[in-house]
Amino acid sequence: MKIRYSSSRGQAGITDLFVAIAIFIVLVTITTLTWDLYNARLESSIDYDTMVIKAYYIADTFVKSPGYPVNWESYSNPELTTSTIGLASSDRVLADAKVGTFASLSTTQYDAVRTVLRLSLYDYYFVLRDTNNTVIYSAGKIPQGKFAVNLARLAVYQNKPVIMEFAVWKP
Amino acid sequence: MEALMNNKKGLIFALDAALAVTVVVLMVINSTYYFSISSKGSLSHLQSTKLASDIVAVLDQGGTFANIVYDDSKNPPSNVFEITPAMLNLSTYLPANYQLWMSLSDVKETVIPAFAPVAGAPCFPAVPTTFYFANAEPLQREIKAMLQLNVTVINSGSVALSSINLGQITPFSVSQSGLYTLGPFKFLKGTNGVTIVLDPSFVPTGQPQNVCIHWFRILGTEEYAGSTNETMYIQDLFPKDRFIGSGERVIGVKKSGNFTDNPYEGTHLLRYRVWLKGGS
Repeated sequence: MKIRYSSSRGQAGITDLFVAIAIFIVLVTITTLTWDLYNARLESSIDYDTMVIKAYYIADTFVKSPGYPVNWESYSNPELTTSTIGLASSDRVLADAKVGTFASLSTTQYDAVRTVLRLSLYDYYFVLRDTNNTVIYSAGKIPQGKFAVNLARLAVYQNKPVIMEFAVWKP
Repeated sequence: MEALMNNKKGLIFALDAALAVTVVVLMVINSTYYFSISSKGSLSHLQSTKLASDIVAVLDQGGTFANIVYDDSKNPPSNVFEITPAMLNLSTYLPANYQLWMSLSDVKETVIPAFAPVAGAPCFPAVPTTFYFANAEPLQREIKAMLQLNVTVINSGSVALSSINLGQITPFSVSQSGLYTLGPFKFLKGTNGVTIVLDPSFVPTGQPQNVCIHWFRILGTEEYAGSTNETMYIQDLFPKDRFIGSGERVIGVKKSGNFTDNPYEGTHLLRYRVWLKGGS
């Protein structure tokens, strides 16, 4: 009886250990998966927020500021001499020449413009349309990545209200 | 007992680990969830506020608010003023699912009813008289603000006005008709009007009073602001279950061919609130 008791004590201890290890492994697995899941969500959230902040900053500068230098559009190589691109002649009033130059540069010097806009990791797409949705200008690359942030701003162009859309997207 | 405890060691260890891991997982989920919710919420809310800001700026650039002020100045003075949708043409700019409320300061007036702009006729105010604020309500708090008067000088020569209940005012001269802005004055809590009188020492002997006051307003106050829906503001009917974006813009109203009597009419504070019509 004494021997049998000792033997059963050992078996109970081993079974208990296996159950404990099994539970521990399951919990560690759950923790790791949850951690990875939320880490991925957090990273994409930070990525999204960065894109939104950049898009807001650029769209705000476009409709409110003339840029720097103020007459950047009249330079021979504006993509090399401009530090800030702005499209406004005054608050929410877009200048014809600035919009035209920006649209043209976005076709011929896309990467240089992207650098000036501090969008090295992202791509952009710019559309200017009237209130009837007729496109006046479109420039940049059409969004086709996983994440895209598209902002619409109201402004005045050639004395008429227009909608300026600016999208920042990640390839 | 000791043997029993030895048997339970593994279980206790497992339960301990389970409890610890559960607590950690809950903390990670909570912190990540609230972190992502807080940043996403504030950024998406920014879009509606930007939209309202753009609309207000575009309307200002188009002279809409200057025209509203000008049209108001052409109409008889009134302590009622509402900005109607027709004045703003909002449907062109505002998406259908958004609601925009605006309030424009200094478009109401307290009318001085005995005004008679005829030389020789009794003109007001000859004796100290109190004129109540546009909303006829006492002030809920002490404010410091400018007092604007619309004065007509009938006879030539300078005259002076003084105020009784605003003790700090000194008589001021008026030599020609127009808007006079005085102050700033301290309006105590509970004040519900302004007492004004023509300074008798400036009335020529044997002459009729030669100055009339049409109306006055206290600049920049809610009492003299006109809005797109005054009931909504007074009764605080703004939605409580969703985000409301708000902002303000100073509107400068200048001559622009309309105000021929004054090259610069003044500044008006435009306040706005924007929200989504449905859902939270």
